[in-house]
Amino acid sequence: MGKTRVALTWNGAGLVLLLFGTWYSAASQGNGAAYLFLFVLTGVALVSSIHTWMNLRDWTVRLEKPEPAFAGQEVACPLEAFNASRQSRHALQIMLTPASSAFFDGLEAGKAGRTQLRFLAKERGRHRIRRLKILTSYPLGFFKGSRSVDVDQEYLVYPHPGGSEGLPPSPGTGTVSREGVKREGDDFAGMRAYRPGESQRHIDWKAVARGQPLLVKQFAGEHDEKIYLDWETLPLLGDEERLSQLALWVIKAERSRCLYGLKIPGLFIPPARGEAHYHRCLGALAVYRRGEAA
Amino acid sequence: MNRWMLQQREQRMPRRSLLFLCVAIGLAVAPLAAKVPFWACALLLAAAFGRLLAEKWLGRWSILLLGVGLFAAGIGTAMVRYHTLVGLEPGTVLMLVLLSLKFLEAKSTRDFRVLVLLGYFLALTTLFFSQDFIVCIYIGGVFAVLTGALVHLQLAGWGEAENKLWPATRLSLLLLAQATPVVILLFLFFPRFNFGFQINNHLFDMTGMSDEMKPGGIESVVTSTKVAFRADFPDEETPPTGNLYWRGVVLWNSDGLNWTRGYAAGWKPEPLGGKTVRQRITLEPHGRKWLFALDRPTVPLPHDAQMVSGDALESRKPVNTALHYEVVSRTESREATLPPLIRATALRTQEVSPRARQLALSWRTAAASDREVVDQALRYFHKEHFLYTLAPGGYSGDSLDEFLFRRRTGFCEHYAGAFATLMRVAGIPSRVVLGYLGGNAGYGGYVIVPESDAHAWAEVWLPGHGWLRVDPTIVVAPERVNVGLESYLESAAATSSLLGATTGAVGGFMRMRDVLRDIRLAWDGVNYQWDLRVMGYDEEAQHNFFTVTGLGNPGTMRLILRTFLWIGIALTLLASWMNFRARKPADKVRALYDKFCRRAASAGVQREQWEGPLDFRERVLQRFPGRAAEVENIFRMYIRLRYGADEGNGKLVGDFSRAVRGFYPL
Repeated sequence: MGKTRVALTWNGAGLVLLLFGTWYSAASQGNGAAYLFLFVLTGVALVSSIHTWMNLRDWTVRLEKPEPAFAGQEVACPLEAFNASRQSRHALQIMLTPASSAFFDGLEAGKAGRTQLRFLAKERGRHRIRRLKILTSYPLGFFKGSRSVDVDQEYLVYPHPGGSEGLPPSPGTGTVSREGVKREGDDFAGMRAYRPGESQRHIDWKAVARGQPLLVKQFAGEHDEKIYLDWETLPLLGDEERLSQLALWVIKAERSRCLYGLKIPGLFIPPARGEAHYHRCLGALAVYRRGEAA
Repeated sequence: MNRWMLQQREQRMPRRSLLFLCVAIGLAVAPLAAKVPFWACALLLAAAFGRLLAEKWLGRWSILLLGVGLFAAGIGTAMVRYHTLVGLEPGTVLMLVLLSLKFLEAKSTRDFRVLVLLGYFLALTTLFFSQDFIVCIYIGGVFAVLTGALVHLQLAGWGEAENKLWPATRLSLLLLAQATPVVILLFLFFPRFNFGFQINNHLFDMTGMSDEMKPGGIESVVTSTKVAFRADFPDEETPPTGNLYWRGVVLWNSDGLNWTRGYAAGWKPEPLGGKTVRQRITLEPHGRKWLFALDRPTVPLPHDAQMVSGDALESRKPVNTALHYEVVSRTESREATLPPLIRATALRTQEVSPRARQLALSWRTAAASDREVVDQALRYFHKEHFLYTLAPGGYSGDSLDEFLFRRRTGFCEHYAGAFATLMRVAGIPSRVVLGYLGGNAGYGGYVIVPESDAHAWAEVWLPGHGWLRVDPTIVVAPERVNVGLESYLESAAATSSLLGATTGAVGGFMRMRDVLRDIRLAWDGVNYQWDLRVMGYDEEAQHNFFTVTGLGNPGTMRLILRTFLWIGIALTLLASWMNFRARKPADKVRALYDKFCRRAASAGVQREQWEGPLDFRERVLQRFPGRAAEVENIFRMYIRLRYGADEGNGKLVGDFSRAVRGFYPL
């Protein structure tokens, strides 16, 4: 648990000004009631700073692994705050950057609350959130309290999908396999075994219910055409543009339900399809020559 | 990520918080309505509640225009009514106008916070008009509601839809309660300075004595129900009412019945003798300079006071707020000679009618000494059926003649004025003193002197005696002197109108009135103690407190440092206590089970986070096959305490505790 700091807010500075004004008028008039008002206001403000400090104590934040996002999109990181104290906490802000924060109106004693920390994914790569700042100005807004919490959560940002090149042709047939070869509702063509990582959309659940192994319905439009998404076929582009183009190809290839493989310097992923393969390819693009970035 | 700042997610002012604030502002402005032009207060209320009804009801330009217009109106009103912009009332008017404009313009939560700060200032303003106990309590309430509005903004400002009015109020009161030690420390030790600068008050509703005396002048004071001042005697019992002549103003210029203040050239403080009487006086503001003290005040003089001609006390500044001072009086005059200049002043008189002159000279010729002249004059007032009345009617023309020989009805000032003038005609130096006579006993050994106890008496200079007090009212209405004016008038009315009519109803009414008077006296006692001990705790009182408690005089800087040190200690204690309450272990059974798990872990059986007691028991049994009975007993008790009917069974908790403590995994 990091150190809890309590500092004056701008409104608190306004209060200090008011206190000086009150002091001056009380002293110049010799007015006992104004003195008393000064003391009560000072006392309440000071005591409120302790409430501010208490409001940050004994609760923790845990970040869960967010779904990977493409650069330029929003990452939504699930966040759980747990109040381990015997008192409720109020008006809490959990901040990653000044532009992205999560908020809790209140956390009851001994209870947890869930929300999402949303922020913009700027660059591709494997990123890490090491710590968050938690803040509050409860109860009066004259003081703000802040504390750092260690969360240490990783998240992956895929390259921004872009580029104008079409999908590369299948080496077997020589024909260009454009996106949209396969459409929903095409003719049923038979069953085959389910490959882990594949989309579960076409699993024959009725067969599963009968006790048979996982089988996937195949449709006429779906074919085992293999294409290779190759770094070397894009010589005119810079590295980042190539990665962008490859990311777009991966998306398009997955959509077209063909078998696709990925070739980038130092890595070859054999042709396959399905969610696991899709994320493996994009992940490889994300961390290409960029092991980790803070 | 280096700029951490606190964000307000909801930027618009929450409606309910605004309602809270509007109520607070309404409460804060209510006591001002009687002090400043009503329209300014009404404007603020209209702006506040108008803002509540309409989210945004005026454009930027209309607000600007309205702002300039209202500001001009505020300045105009202040100039017309008070002829100045500096001062309490005009300042209040301008502040009300500014606050109204801020309300019209306010949009964000930041504006809201500014409004609350201004609201605090508004509440403070009331305390400059009055420091009564009840006013202070009321402003305390306003303070709590304002603070509640701030808390409510925090609770509701993050988008909560629930009604948070009560939690916000409760927290506000809690903050006030927790602040009490800090407030007491600050009150006792915070250094009090006197800047010696006063805002110019226009106090229209001030009554009190004037520095001249025309027939009928005191009458308006006497019908007032206000308190002029309160006094107590730290060293002795309160003297009898008939001896409580409170000296105020000394008048030197005679014009028949009328006397004005004048000035005695060459006057020096007059030597006094006899017993000293110390008094502590709490003077209500009267807007003039004079101070009251028992006849006759002497050195040491109160702070910021001076003695003016005729041994009267005067403040160096007008008394615009309640003033506390301590004064010493001695009862006997020790004057041996009267300087010629003063003698001339004290004998000067305007032309009086031949008849009056003849009256005075007849006393002179018949008497062997000045003393006898005085006695003869008093006898004259006694013998000739003068009537003491509150409503003698106006005197005009040769008022002295009319009073002495025709109407013969009057008030203390008529008697004092006529007597002193006649003494001058008879060749005896004289002057008139205005002040108060008597006072009512308050609970706790102090005297309340109401304005209705205003009195006038005369002083004559007799060789060998010096200035001697002569109160001609004594001979006309002796009871007035002994029981106070109010009681005197009441009993006079009772004997005239209720003669023999002591029926049950009247008796009940009288009892009821007694009860009411007791309540009023008790309340006055509370007010007096508040005034004396809390409001009157100034530089001098603080110094006394330090002396009495043995703290000595630590010096301002050290005082401030020490005060903050003590406040720091108080706050640390509060924080520790709050922390302790928040963390107090909730669950003894849980703590014991954790202890057991730690011991098991030290022997190599680590309980997993998700592992329930039944699964964990199996693993512990595997590890300790020889101690199955002991382990099973522990788990059986834990399960019964945790999930069974024995939750909260103190005896079983004790057994469980012993079993866990006795479990050594080696």
